[in-house]
Order: sequence, then C-alpha cells, then structure tokens
Amino acid sequence: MDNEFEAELQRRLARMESPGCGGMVQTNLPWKDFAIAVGALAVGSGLLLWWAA
Amino acid sequence: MVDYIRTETISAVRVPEDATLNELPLLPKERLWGFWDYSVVNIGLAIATWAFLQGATVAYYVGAVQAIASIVIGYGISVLLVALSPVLASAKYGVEQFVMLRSIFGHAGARLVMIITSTIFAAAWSAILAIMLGHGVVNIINTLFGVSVSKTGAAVSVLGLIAIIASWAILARGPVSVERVSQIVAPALVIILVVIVVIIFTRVSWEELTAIPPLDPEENPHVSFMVAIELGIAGGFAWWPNMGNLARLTRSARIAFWPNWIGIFGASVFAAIVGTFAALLLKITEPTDWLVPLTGAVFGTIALIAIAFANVTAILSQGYGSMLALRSGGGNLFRRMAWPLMGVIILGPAGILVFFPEAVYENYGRFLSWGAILVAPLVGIGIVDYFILRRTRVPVRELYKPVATSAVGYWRGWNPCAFAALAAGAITYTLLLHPISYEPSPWFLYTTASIPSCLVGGLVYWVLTTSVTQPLGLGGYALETPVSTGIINAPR
Repeated sequence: MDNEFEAELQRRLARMESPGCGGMVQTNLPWKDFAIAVGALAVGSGLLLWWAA
Repeated sequence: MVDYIRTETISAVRVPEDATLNELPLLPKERLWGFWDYSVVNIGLAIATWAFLQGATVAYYVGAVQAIASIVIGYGISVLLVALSPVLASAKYGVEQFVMLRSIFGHAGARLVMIITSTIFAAAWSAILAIMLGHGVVNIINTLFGVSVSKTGAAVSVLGLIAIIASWAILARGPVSVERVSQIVAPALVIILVVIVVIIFTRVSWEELTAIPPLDPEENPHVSFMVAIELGIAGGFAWWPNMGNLARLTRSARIAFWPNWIGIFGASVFAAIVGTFAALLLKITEPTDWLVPLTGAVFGTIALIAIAFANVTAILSQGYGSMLALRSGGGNLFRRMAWPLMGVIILGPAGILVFFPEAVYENYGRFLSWGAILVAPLVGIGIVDYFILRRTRVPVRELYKPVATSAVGYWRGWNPCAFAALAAGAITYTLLLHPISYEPSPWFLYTTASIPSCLVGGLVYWVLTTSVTQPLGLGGYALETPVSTGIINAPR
C-alpha cells in the first residue's frame, strides 16, 4: 500500500514538473479578478458605513 | 477504490484509493467541481443554522441597519482573506491544504496546526450543528403533535447523535456525496430564506423593523457596532479549516475564488441578516424557535426539516475537510486507515459532545473568538508566504519529502519563525478584545481585533523569514518550481 502510494506520488510529481505541468497546476487568479473583489468590497463597505452612521 | 489514470508517460496505473481522499496532488480529471458545482457546495455549507445563529448573536448588539452593514463588512473582509489563503494555493496545485501548510510551519508544525484547527474545530462545529438539528426536530415534534418535549433533555442529544451517525454514513462514500446532498438542500434553503423575508415584511414595515432596538447592546453604540463587525469577521474565518480542501477540487483559479462570494459570503450574509431580522422581531435568538411562530405551523415545519438537512450538509463538508486533513497530515497510521473509520475519528467526539447540549450551544460566541485568535494570524502568514515571499510558486516536491531531506523541513520539522508570528498575532488579538468577556481595548473601536492580528502575524512572519529563514537557506524559497500553462486544455 505504502509502496503503491509512494510510486503514485512520484509519478504525479514527475508529471507536475514536466513541461506544462501535465495540466496539474492552475494558472494564477487574474489580478483583475482580485482588484474587482477588493474594489467592490471597499466601495460597498464605505457605502454601508455611510448608510449605517 | 480502484481507478485508472492516463498521463503523457503512463498508460494505466492502479491507484490504491481515490486521490481526492488523500494528499496526492490531483490530476486534471480528479478536479470534480466546475463553477456551479462548487457554488452549490459553498451555499449548502453556508446556509446552515449557524448562519441564523450568527445573525441572532449580532441582534444582541445592533439594530437592523447596523446589522446589515456589520455582517456584510465583517464577512466580506474574512471571506476575501480566506479566499486568498488557503484557497488559491491549494486550488492552484491541487494539494491538500495542510500539506501546503508544511511550506510555512514545517512537517511537524503543520501537523500540530492541522490537529488543532481541523479536528477540534470539526468536533465543536459538528456538535453545534447536530444540537441545533436536535432543537429543530424537537420543535417539529412539538408543533405537529401538540406536545412539549424539552429542548434541554435527552431528546435533543439522541437526535443530535442520529444526525452525526447519518452524516458519517453519507461521508463514508466520499466528496461526491457532499455535492449531491448540497445540490438538493441549497436551492431549497434559498427559497425558504426568501419566503421568511417576505413573511417578515408582511408583519412589519421597514421603518418599524429598523426602529426595533438591539436585544442587549453595549453602553457605547460604537462598541456594539465594532463587536458586530468582529463577529462577522470571526464567522467568516471559521471556514478556514475547510475552504482550501474544497477549493482543491475545483478546475480553475476563478472557480476556486468566485463561488466563495456566492456561498460563504452571499448566502451566509443573507441567512445571517434574516436571522437578525427574525431575532429582533420576535426577540428570540434561537433560530429553530422563531421559525414556527414567525411563519406558521405548516411552513415552519417544512423550513425546519429543510434546515435540518442543511445542518447535515454542513457537517458533511466540515467532516470531509477534516478527514482529508487528518489523513494527509496524521502520518502513516491515518494514511492506512479505512475512510469510514476516519469518519469515526472525526465525528466521534461530536457524538459525545451532543450529550452536553447546553454547554456546547451556549459557548458559540466564545468559540468563534477563540477560532479567530488562531485563524486571523494564520491567514496573514499564509498570504505573506504565498503571495509575497514565494510569488505564488511553491516547491511542491519538497512538501512530500521526509523532514531530513526536505527544504521545508526547517528545524526537525518545525519552523519557530512561523510559530512566533502566530503567537504575535494571537497576542495582538487578545490585547484588543478579550476573547471570553468580549471586553474591548480603546484601539478596538477603530481597528477590530482580527484585522490587526492578521496584519501583525503576516508582518512578523515576513520580518523573521527575510532576516532568519531565508539567509539560512531554509524554506526552499530559491528552488525552481513548476510553472503552469493552464489547466483547462491540459491532457487528461
């Protein structure tokens, strides 16, 4: 069981380290998405604070 | 489970077990969830009765308008931070979140953090949910049969235990079961919430609702408002032990990121606000108590049944994340253990706690605070390590090497710099807000406790890593790491 697991782990790591990562590694979240989330949260929080004051 | 994997170099390999149930990095075909799959799971996780209880707790401190503001702001901050760490790192590499944590704390350190955050939290949350379910079912029985079964007696404990056993039976089948249950429960709960809102506003106008004072506010209204925000932040941080492992099953970074805003933000906020409104209106803070008086016997009973299922969904999601964590971080003993037995290890303590319903249930707020003390600095440390120090590139192979040869082995599997940062963040929290008495310091009125704790944890970690760890060549910060070309069109 452990040998099987270790062998499978090594196969997967090798695939991850191959060119293109064998499709195992996602590209990063686009910065635009992050900026939209932060911006919406900041604007929304500001409006809510103004409303609740 | 036996499965077959096709890669560029391997035609068919016998796998000992479904990789989504252990710590192997996931193959593309093992990424089970698209956008709506993950959104539904997320909503099912968020709309348990703890969201109602969260809203009811906020009703102690603030009225309807400030409740909306504090819940949205509090949850928004914590959901954003949790989405950054641990969600994106685990999703990117398909690596279990506590295995990923080895890059920060070392192998042994990550195991300690995992045991504390994952197993203990899972036991406490599952017990709270099961006890709430017991309360709900007792209310159903009392409503349907006109009896007065006590909610402090054995009935609640027995019903809670049944919920725990049922959850274990479903969970023993793996994460697909969570998805299927969520797909039924989540939409039903959204409908119920909308109906409850409609019923509330047929009883009172917006002006009348917003004129209702909070149930037990602090003397200073600003303190009450900040405590309400802090409750929201702590409520969002409570998802930390689970979200990385759930996001690991998603197919892209966007799918890992945005459904958090639909589920643990949108659905939690909606349910919590409804909980606040109902608690203010009826002056009852126990969610399962106000459903029948508010909506009538028929709809109230239907809603209680649906919420009971939702509680089971949340126990399943909590349980899955914790079982996976224990399997990956608990060493050879847990790696060899059968998956159903893992379920017994995780849910067993909750099965005992349900026999002390009052003690568990009445410590909800205290429990949230203690969670935030730990999770707030963990989030800050995680963000600094993954985004600033590693530039989103993790040496995955090092995570799986033995301590003695791993670049993230640090000192015998421990990274004292990370623990020092964690302690600094935790101390910051307790200096700003006493976690038991909820006594705030003067600074708390402007800063909350969780945000400074998060910032201090991250800052101390950055200082210690750049001044101690990196100069000693520890942590694998200079190693080459895999660079993705994207997962969507990858070979399967």
